Amino acid sequence: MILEAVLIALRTIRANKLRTMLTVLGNIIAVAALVLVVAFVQGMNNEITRAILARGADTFSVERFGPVRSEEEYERVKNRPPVTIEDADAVRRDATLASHVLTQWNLPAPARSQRHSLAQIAVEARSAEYVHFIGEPLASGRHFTEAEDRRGVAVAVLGSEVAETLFPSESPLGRIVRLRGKHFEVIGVMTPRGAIVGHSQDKYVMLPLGAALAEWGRPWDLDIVVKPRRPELIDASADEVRAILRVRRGLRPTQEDTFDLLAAATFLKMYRETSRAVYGALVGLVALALVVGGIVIANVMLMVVTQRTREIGIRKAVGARRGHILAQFLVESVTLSLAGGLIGFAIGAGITALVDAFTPLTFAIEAWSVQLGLALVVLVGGLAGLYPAARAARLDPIVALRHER
Amino acid sequence: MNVIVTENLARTYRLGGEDVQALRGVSVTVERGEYLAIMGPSGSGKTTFMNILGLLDTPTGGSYVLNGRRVSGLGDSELSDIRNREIGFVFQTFNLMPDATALHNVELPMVYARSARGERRERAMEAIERVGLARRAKHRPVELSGGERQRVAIARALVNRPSVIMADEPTGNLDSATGVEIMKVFAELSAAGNTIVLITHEPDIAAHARRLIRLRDGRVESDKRQ
Repeated sequence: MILEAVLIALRTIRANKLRTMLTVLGNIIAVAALVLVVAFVQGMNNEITRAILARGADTFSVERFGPVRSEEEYERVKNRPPVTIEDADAVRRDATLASHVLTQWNLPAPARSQRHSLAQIAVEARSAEYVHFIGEPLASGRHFTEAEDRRGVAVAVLGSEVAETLFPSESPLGRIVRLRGKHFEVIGVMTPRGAIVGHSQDKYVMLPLGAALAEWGRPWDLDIVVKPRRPELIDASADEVRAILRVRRGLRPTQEDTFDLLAAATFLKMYRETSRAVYGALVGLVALALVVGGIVIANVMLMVVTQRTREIGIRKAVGARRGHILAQFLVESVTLSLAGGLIGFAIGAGITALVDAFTPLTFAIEAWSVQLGLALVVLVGGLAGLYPAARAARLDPIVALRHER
Repeated sequence: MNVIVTENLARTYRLGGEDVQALRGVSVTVERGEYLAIMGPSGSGKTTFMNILGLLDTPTGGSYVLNGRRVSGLGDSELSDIRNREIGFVFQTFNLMPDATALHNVELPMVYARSARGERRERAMEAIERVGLARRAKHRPVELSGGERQRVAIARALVNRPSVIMADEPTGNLDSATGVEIMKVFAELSAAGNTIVLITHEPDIAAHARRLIRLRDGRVESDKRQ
C-alpha cells in the first residue's frame, strides 16, 4: 500500500515535471545550500587546519600582536612595543621548558637570479635553530649552520617554487640569489609543501638571521617561536615565556600583556568561531527555504486532494479506511518533498564536484549534511501533507463519489 | 439465510435548517442468492436506501443487520472493513481509477483486504475473465468502451467475493444494446448464487430481477416477486 502511494506520487511527479520543480524549489534550495555550504566550510576547515598545523602544532610564537579583526582591536594593540632581539635572548636564556627558541625576522622582498625574477616572496631571516621547526626535508644541498648564522655568512635556502622559477634549467646550488640588492649563495632547496586554498606555500627564502643583520641592520620587530620540551608542555611553556616577558617589560599584575602568544590552537579557535558564524547564517537560510517549501507543498497537496476527490470516494467505497487515505496522501507528500531534497542534493553534489575539480578550493561533501538535509525534507513533507491528508481522509464517500471532475 | 434485514430504517437530512426525511421507516429482508430490484421516482429515497445498505451512509433511525451483524452504530474503520469484505459496488458512472489498468482497478479492494500480491493478481485475473475481459486487462479505462468499463467495475465488485453486489443504475450511461449485455452478466452472476441489489428507475432493467420493491416518498410502496 505504501509502495502504491509512492508509485502514485512518482507518476504525478513524472507527469508534471515543471510543476514539481516549482513546487519543491524551496526543498531544492534548502538541501543544495546545506550540502554546498557544509562542503565549503568543511573543505575550508580541512585546508585551514592543514595551514595552521603546518605552522607547527607543537610550537607557539611570540608576536607584537596576532591577527587583528576590528578597528577597536587595532586601537588597543597599535602602541605596543616591538619584539626585539633582546626579548628573544631573554626567552632563550630563561625558558626552562623550551627545547628550542627560534628568532625570525620576516622581510618580504623581490628575488632575482641572473635571468629570472619573482615579484614578492617571503624572506625569512632565521636563527640556526630553524632546522628544529621545519616539517619538510631538504630536496638538495644543506641547511646553514650555527657558525654561519653567528658569522653572518650570506647563504640562502630556497623554497621549491623559488628554486624552480629562478633557476629553471640548472641546479640552484652554488648560484647567487639577489635580495634587496644583496647577494646570497644558494646552499639548499626545500621539498614542496604544496598549496593551501590555491596559495603556494613554496615561495620563500630562508637566510641566517646573522647575515640579514649584517646586510640590513637591526630589525624593528621580529617573531620568537618556541618549541617546548614535550608537546604536552605547550601551555606551561607559554606561561613561563609570558612571565619572562612581563618581568622584562616591567608589567604590573593588573596590566595586560603587551605581546601575543599564538599557538596553532589559537588560530584553530579563531577560525572555528568564523565557521560557526557561517553555519549560523546557513541555519537561517535552510529554515526559510524549508518553510517556504513546506507551504507550497501543502498548497499543492490541497489541490491534489481536490483533483482526486472522486478517486478518494472510490477507494472508500471499496473499503479504504480513513487511515489508509491519510497514509496515502502523507506518503505522497513526503515522496514529493523527498524528490525535491534529492534534486537539491544532486545539484549541491554537482556544484561541489565542479568546484573541487576546477578551482583551487577543496570542497568535501559531508555525509551528515546530506542525512540532515534529507531528514528535514521528509519532516517538512510530512508536516505539509498532514492537513491535506486529514482533509482527504475525512471526506464523506457519498459526496466524494458525486464530485465532478 | 438472510443477508440483509432492515427494520423501520429512517434517514433524515438537515437541509438549510429544515429536516428532510429521505427514508421514513423501510423494513426489507433479503435472502442469500436473491436478485432484487429497487425502483422509484427521483426523491423516493432509493439512492439513500442503497447508500445505507452499502454502508456509505448511516441511518438516523431503525436498525440494519447485515449477515447477522448489527451494523448501525459501528465506527468508520469497522464499516470500511465490512464494506470491503461484504459489499461490491457497481455505479452508473463506473467510477474506475483513471490512471490504473483494468487489472489494477479490479485488484484495488484486495489491496485494502491486505491480500498477498500473488493471490491478488490471480483472483483479479479470474474476476476479469469472468466478465469476459481477459484480453483487455492491461488497458486503462480511457482505452475501453463504456460497456467494457462497466464490466471492469463488475469484476472489481466481485473480486472479494462479497455477500451482496449493489448496482446503482448500472446501465444508465450505456446504450441499450450494451445495457442488455451488462444485464446478461448480472443474470449470470445471479445464476451462480450471488446476491444482487439493483437500483434503477427503468422498468425494462428492473424486469431482469426476480423481486421488485417500489419506493415512494421514503416508504415501501410494493414488494413483489416476479
